[in-house]
Formats: sequence, structure tokens, C-alpha cells
Amino acid sequence: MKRYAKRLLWLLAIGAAVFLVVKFIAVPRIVYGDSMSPTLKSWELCVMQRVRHYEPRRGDIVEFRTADEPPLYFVKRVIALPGETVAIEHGVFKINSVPLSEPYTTANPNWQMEPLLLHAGRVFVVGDNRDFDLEDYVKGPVATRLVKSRLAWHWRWKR
Amino acid sequence: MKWLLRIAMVGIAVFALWRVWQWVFVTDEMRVRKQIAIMESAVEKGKLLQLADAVAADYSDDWGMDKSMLLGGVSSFRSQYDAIFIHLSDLTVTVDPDHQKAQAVFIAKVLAKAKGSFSESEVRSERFRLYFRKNDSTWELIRVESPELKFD
Repeated sequence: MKRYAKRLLWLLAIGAAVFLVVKFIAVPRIVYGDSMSPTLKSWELCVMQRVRHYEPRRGDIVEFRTADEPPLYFVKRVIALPGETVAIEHGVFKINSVPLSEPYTTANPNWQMEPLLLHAGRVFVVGDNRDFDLEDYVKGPVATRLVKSRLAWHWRWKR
Repeated sequence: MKWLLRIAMVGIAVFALWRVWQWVFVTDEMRVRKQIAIMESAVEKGKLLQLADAVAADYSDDWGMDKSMLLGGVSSFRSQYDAIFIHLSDLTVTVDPDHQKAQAVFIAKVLAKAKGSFSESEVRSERFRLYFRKNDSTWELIRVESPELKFD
């Protein structure tokens, strides 16, 4: 009986540890869809590091939620930071009029966007897959408070 | 004759108990949830007649479709894929106090297997708001909205 109680306590402790890790440190996610291809492909396993107050960094791959209920979650790349002006000219992102080097993707020359100033507490996010039409795409300014985690590691199931 | 009478009595009793059960335990919220599950299955399997039964004649939506356009759209969408899987989450059903109208909000994630493909990929993930109207004892879909996403 004592042995079973001990096992149960161990299981409870492991369960509590897993819960705390997933709640506060890192959470596993499966990628659905190809909007982050070729960096992340559909059905890949990701480990997302939880962030309480997101400090924006260009190039971060982040998971953010929508501001209403029930929320939808998206994974995109941070392209521009608060206070910067972002524009798209023939598929090339320009940050404060300077072209952004994006070795992880291929520019879509059909993409055009007028300069947009990002206010404090907002980042501009976009997916790495530029094969879609710009209008069919979730992209644009996102409040940093809606960013919930940052990509820490990913593993490709299919090669 | 006596056995026949007994069977009829049992049948009537079972029917009465079933009606009481329905009346007491099956709420309108449960009926709306069941109707959503039926529609989900109808879209997955391409059963347009089943879907048509669940949709009101005066149906409208955010995309400007009426009932016939909706059914045509579902048929056309379904024909592009070998299989479709719809996963609903965060489903909330609210029934009006007069029990004549109801709203349902949920997130639908649609996974589809393209023709000739071995694996399915996500086609879309969207939040929907459905409006239902009670017609006798069934709930029929009268409107679908897809609220705009807010990132601020």
C-alpha cells in the first residue's frame, strides 16, 4: 500500500512539473498550414518558449492570439519593430526605407504595401511563405501583449 | 391479442418516457449543438440533402450567399478534395430567453486531403458565429458570420 502511495506521489509530482513547465516555460505545438513554409512546414513539431512581456526582436518566429474570444492562434515572423516604418515594394520589405534581407524566403514581386508606421507596443508580422496573394494572408501590425510565445526549437517529421 | 396489447402498452410507455426525457433533460442548447454536429458531418461527407434540411430558406451570410449558393459552394469545395476533416473548438451556444433563437460561436479548423495526396493539410482556420431559429422542434440555420480578426 505504501509503495502504491509513493508511486502515486511521484506521478502527481511529475504531472505538476509538466503542468508548470507547459504553463510558464515552454509548450509543444504542431504547425498547421504552410504560411511559414519553408521554415516551418505543416505537421512539424515546435517547442515554443513562453513569454510574459514580449521584448520584440526582428526575425523572431512568434505565436500570437487574436484580441477577441474565442481566440485564434497564429505563428508568424516579426519583420518590423515598434517605431519603425514598414513598406513592401515589389515583394521586398523596406524598414525605414532600407531593404530588408530575408534569406529564409523568396520575395513575391506582386506584393505591394504603402509605408506604415508602427506605434509603440506593436510589431509587424508576416509568414515566410510569399506564394499567396497578399490579401489572402494574415499579416500586419500585432500588439506585443498578444504575443504568447517564441519559437525555441522545431523538428521536421517529414523530410 | 393479450401479448399484442402488452407490447403496445410498453411501446406507449417507452415513447412517453422518451418524450418526458426530451422535455426535461434535452435542452435547446443541446439541440443546437447536435444540429451543428449534424451540419459538420454533412459538410465532411458531402451530404448536401442533410445540410439543406438544416438550413433555413431565408439563409444569408457575410459573403452574400443564399441557401442555394451555400449548398453549391459546399459541393464545389468538397469536390476539390478526397477527404475533409472539420475540427470545432471553443463552442459556445447562447439561447435567447424566449427559446426561439440561438447563437453559436466557435473556431473551425478545416483539414483537407487533396486529390491524390497522402496527407491532409489545413485549408483554413476561422471563427464563426451562427444564428439559429426554432422551427417547431428543430433548429434551422438562418445566418453565418465570420467576425473580423482583431490584433490590437
